[in-house]
Amino acid sequence: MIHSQSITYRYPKKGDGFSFPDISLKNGEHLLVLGASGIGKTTLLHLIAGLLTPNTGSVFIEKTCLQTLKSKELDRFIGQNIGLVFQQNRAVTSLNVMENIKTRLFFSNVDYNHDEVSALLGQLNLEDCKDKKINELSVGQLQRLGIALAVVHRPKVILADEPTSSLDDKNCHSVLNLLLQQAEINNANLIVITHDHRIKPFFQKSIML
Amino acid sequence: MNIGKLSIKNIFHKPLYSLLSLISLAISIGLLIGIRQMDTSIRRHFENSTGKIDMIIGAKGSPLQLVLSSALHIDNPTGNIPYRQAKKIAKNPLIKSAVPISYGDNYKGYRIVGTTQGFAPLYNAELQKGRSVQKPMEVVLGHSVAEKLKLSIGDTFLSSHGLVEEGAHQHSEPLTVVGIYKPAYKVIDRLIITALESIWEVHHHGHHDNEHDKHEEHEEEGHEEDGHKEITSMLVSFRSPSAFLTLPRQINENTNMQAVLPKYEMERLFQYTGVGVQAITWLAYTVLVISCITIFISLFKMVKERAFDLALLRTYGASNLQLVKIVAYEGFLIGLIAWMVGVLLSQMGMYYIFEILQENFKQIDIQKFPWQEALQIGVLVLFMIMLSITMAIPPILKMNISNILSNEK
Repeated sequence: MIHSQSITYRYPKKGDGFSFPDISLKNGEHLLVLGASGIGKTTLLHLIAGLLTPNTGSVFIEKTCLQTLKSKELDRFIGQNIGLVFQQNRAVTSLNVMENIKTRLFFSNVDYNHDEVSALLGQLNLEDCKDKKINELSVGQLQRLGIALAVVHRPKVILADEPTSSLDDKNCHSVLNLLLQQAEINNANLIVITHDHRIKPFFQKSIML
Repeated sequence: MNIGKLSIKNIFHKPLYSLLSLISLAISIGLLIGIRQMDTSIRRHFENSTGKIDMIIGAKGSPLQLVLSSALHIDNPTGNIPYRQAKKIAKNPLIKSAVPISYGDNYKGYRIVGTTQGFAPLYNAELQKGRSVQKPMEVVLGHSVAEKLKLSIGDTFLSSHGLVEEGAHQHSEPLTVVGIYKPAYKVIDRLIITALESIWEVHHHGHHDNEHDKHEEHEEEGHEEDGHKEITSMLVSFRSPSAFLTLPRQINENTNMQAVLPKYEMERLFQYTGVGVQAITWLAYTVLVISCITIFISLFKMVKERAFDLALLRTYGASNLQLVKIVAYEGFLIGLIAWMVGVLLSQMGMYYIFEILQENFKQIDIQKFPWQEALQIGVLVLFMIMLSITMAIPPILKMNISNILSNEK
């Protein structure tokens, strides 16, 4: 469950601020946020993810208001409840695939469960690259690892920033299906922000910035 | 997975760079420990060895040589002096005690010193077993000699002519062990003490075997009379400090003997060797600073170039403090390993150097591992690494996660 109330944000040293429409998702509901470049899509995503603090307004995840948390509590809360998927997925380069997963779980304070992780890697077709280094992965494998890292700790909210903009139609579909499937499995809210209109049909709820 | 493992992974992510930091740091630590250990070993050895000897009277020649041979027992003597003449000087009221010594023989490389009962008190040496020398051809062993040669009371052995083990001529009169000293941690530990008469006697008889030894031919002419007997040198301790100013000059000007002050000569020697020690010390400090800069660059590079990785960890729930710990552990780990490797290097180096020294001078003992100095250097390295870490972490604290993540390319 996620809920945002009249949030505004203004970058320091930059002119106009952004003011965003309210978002309210019940459990299991997903949302598509569409908008052209520069309209503040990523800013909204980072505000929901707690990486930025709004000038006014508040964001609730389940019953917790992010703005009332102290910085250390916020770090922990983000780590445990939010999964971020980036446009170009990256993982920690000094670690291999499995070590990245374990590192994610360590910082999110979630115990490593071999069966669960294996199942997840199976769903994402990554079981063969467990021991591969990050720079040995193909673009598709890296993208799927990005999804794995965003969901392995069973977050309440999955936030994806332009996950499909550089993909062809076929891969675009498969990535979205994976995201929706993982959101379903974890009973999490999925919010995707994009300027990619191809993915509109996948969502019942969408807003335009 | 935990913070420590992440630090280790970071170290192995750039193995060559880590190795460079590690090796240069280890070398500087090794040099610093090694040079200090060697300097103190040699210094302590020399200072200890002079015991209560304020002045040495010997044959004319190099003053340093006289000190090295008569006080430290590591060089050849300058020559002999008439015992009678030396005794005359010893009567001076400024002199508290004067101990004649005479040497020229060895047993398995350990020097045999003919002397009087006054010798052992110069080094505060006490008997552990047996009794002191009462008759010619009896010996009391320094503690190390007894230990290394596995000799005990009642054993006999034949001495060899010369001061080094290789000296070929063996004397025919056996020496009998009558006592063993307690460890004094001074040069006496490595000496074999006997009566003056033993040396004279051995060389008197020895003469018949070696006709060509001209020195001994002279000696023989009047060996029964005290007046014509010779000793190598006389070890003198003063009753009053004013003797330091007057006595050496008196002896040097009015007799054909020389008088030297071992403490003064030693200080002169350290001034020469001190320059080398200083140079190596500064070199080691320079390498230390450079290696700390290498570590700083390595950490700073990691923080800057892998900002995205660090931002990613923050979205995983890592706090700033945890990221700082990753960087700090990496620095400390390299420092710790370098310290251990450095200590190891220094000890291997010391062992090797002293192995060489032992062949020439059996007397120098390696100083026990200088924990205090090693720890001091460890603290210094710790401080330098903390400085490197402190300079490398501000980018982490100033990191704008949102900015880094949205500017991904």
